[in-house]
Amino acid sequence: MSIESQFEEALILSAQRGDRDAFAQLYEANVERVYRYLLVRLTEPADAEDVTTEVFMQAMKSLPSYKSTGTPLVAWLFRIAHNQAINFMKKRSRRKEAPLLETAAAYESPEDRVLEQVRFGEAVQAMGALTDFQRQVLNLRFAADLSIAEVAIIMKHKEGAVKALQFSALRALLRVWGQQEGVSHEC
Amino acid sequence: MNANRHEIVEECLELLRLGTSLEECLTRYPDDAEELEPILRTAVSARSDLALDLPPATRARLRDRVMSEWDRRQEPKRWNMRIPSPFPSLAPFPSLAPFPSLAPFPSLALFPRWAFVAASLVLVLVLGGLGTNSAAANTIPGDFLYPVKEVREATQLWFARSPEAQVEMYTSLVKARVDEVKKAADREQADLDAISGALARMEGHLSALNAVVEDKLTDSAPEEVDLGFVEALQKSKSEQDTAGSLLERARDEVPMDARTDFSNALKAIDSAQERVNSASESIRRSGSGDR
Repeated sequence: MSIESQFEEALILSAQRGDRDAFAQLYEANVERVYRYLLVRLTEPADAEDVTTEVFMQAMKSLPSYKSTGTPLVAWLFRIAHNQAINFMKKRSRRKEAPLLETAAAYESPEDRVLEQVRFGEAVQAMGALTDFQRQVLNLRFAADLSIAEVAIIMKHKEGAVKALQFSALRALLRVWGQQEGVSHEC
Repeated sequence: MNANRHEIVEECLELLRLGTSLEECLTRYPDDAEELEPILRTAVSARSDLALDLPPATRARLRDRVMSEWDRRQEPKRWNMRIPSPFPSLAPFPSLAPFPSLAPFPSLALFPRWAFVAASLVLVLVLGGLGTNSAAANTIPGDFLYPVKEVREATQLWFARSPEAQVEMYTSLVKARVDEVKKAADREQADLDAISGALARMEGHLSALNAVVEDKLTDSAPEEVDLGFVEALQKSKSEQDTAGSLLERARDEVPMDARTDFSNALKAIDSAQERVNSASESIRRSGSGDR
């Protein structure tokens, strides 16, 4: 077991005993990637924020029964995130959508952030043409910045299969972007 | 490209992640460079376009929400008595949860909660006698007398022991926060900090309200829920409707920067209403609400 895994396991045990700092460290180590993953899935920052909160609340609730059997905590968290995202998307259709301007206002320096937001929107839109597995692998690898080994555990695939999926996803994305550029040139 | 091209792509991605340039990666695989290049460029774009940073304000808000939930869950173990925490912003000092204005003094966290409740009672009585208490009623976050209002509310909350009394209390606190938002928005120049503070506290009240409903339905089967609790839920739902409409109106009167806070608060209301609706529905199905 690596030093990082041992450290993580010690933190989990301390958090299970009620150590606030230990839980805070586990939270800090994972919040950014969970949020990024959810942002790609849900596209609205406010929704990603709400569901990220739900993920950690659920994790907190289930932590006492969590048993580390060689599976890293991140895999467990992303399974919770996956389920919460699905539940949220089911409910979302019933709710009012926030206007785009409000979404942009969630960021501090409007111009840069709006540009980032536009590029983000285009990338997510292009990913819409990919298969579920391809989207999932790009999201976990490039938005959540997880390793091949971590993605393999989360997706319950072998590492080689994840690499092959990543390759096919990138090729598909390249094709979609190529087609979009072709269309914009024609226009 | 050879049969292990997905392995080569992954090797290059790892090198890129470690700071190697794309050109250098391609020179390592001259036979595959032509096919590799567009794929690697796609990967680099995907990484930069998809990995949006978590904005600092969002990060702070998320941490506040999650860690105050942690504190709320730990409270019964610590003091062996259940006092709901309406003030999640005091996450680092759970024993001071009802007293946000004392948060900067960590040494005070050594005292048990009941001592603060007793002290606050005395304070409220003394200050009330001097007329300060009524003056504090009209304050908004950031005002000099606002801590007096917080202490008074925390004391009232402490006396609300039954779940229905807690539902009523949290509902009235939500109403109080909406009043503060309106007052802050109506000032000659809208007080955005006060609005943000009031909305954040309101989210805390709604989350505590959800927890009370959750606990009640965990502790009792729907058919055992008493009529008083059902009535408190119905009243809360109607008050939340009003609060939502008032906030939507106030949102249109503030600058764009402040609107995200409104959006979050409105979502918190939606979520609380959803919780209240589903609780009312399960009670109604059990026949308890018809008694």
